[in-house]
Amino acid sequence: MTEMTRRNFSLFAGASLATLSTPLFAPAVLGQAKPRVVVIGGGPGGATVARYVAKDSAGAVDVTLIEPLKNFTTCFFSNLYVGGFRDMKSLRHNYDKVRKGGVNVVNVMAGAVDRNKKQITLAGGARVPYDRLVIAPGIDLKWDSVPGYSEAAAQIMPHAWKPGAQTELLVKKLNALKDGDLIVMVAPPNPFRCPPGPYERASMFAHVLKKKGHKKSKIIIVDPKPAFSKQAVFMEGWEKHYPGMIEWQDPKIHGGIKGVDPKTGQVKTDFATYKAALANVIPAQMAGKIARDAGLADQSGFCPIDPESMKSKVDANIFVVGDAAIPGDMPKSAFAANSQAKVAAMIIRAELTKSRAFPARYSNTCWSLIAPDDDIKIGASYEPGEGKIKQGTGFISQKGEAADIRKQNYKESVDWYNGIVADIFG
Amino acid sequence: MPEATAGQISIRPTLSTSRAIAAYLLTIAGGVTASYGADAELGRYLSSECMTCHGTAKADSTIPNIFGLGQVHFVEVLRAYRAKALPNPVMQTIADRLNDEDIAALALYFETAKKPN
Repeated sequence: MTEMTRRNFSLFAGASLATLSTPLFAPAVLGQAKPRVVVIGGGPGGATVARYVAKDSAGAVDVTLIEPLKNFTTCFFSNLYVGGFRDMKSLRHNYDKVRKGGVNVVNVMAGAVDRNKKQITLAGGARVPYDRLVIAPGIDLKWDSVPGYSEAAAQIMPHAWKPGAQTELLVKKLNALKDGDLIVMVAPPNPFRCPPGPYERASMFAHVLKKKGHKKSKIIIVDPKPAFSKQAVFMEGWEKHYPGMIEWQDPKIHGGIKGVDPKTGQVKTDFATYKAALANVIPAQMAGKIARDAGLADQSGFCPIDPESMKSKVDANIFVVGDAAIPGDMPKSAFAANSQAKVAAMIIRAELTKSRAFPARYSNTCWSLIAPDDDIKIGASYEPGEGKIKQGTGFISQKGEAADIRKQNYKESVDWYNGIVADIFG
Repeated sequence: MPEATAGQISIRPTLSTSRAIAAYLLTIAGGVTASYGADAELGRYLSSECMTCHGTAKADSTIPNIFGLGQVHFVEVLRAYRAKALPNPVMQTIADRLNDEDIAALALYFETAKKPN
């Protein structure tokens, strides 16, 4: 295994030397010109950290973003693809502007983290040293959390909780349904990515079926949780737009989720066995593998962080942002990841360039579409407190709101999407 | 729907009427001063929160462009959200924890910052 140099790395990665403003992978030796920040994961958390460190340090820090995908598909707004409100292309974003912003984007899978040597090993064996490492790998799915489910079963019973091919498979199956068919969604236990997501997705299922003129089709959500995000306004909306079509079952009703059988399409609970024409199984979740393999996760499967900085509680040279972190009162969302990334970027610059550090502030808003022009939202501000990221002021959509408020929420969510993807990807 | 235009920020009220907003802005306008001596570095950091939504605003966006906004007007609007005299709960929540120094720092930043997109 060899230490990667600027030249051999750029050849390896297929990157143009012209995009590499400074030597990035020089060995960690005395007298090095610039501190090195390496970011693993080019989603809402990772790409935001990379862009903000590069932008605000104005060339004083070498920033490398390691992301295997050349195009990132956002999980946020993928439910609008399910509902037919957006196409898949509108959810895809490349890293051209991230590169133009001074970040060295390397489309290679990161293999492992050597915390003692402060270096990453890439798939292929090359090593990348760092002074500060940011890990933002998102989630992995706990396949065995639903008996009978597996990675192979996901080709029959899609989870679609990671965007792209899985979401396309879900939509293909949705569009093939006949009137009278049954959709069963197995909702995930806490904590999971996008708390309102399963319920917005059920709304989008119902919207598609209603639009196709289905009168007898039904959607059953079997949920391991006794309650869910924005529950009162979701359920009001379901009754208003899709009366009798969506049935939500908490553990008191179904008595426990016993498992699924991909061969027969069955979803079994203690209460009943359902034959689903479409089963959408969203399993329990944990931090991405590279974070767990690096020893950054606790028994929950997610990574504890310092709420003042997003720094790992395990390693002072590593920051964890986004869905892989334990975010206290914050939900796991793209908005939250983007917000956490800005705190991490600010602290990283302060540590490496002696720039000023400010008290951490976080915020989040999650919009959910129930039906055309009927959009609800929940949000809050957050700050460090009681050893965690603690919620401050918050708000949530109310039952019985005027239609123009809900319509305005939808327009706002579309504007937000445009804004946040520009903030993440340039 | 009525539309209250406050300088460069176009606000479409949903609960309050544009007349009520205009009246509120008039009541506070006398107490607003430009943010001379504001903390530019603090403004730059705090602005990152705004960038999640405001970086790509166009003329017809529900989320307005705030780049190039005059400091006096910027302060007026943020104070109005903080006082819940303007209706959007997202902005009310953002403004709720901003003290006068924070608002002045943001006003200074956005008056001269270049819109990135």
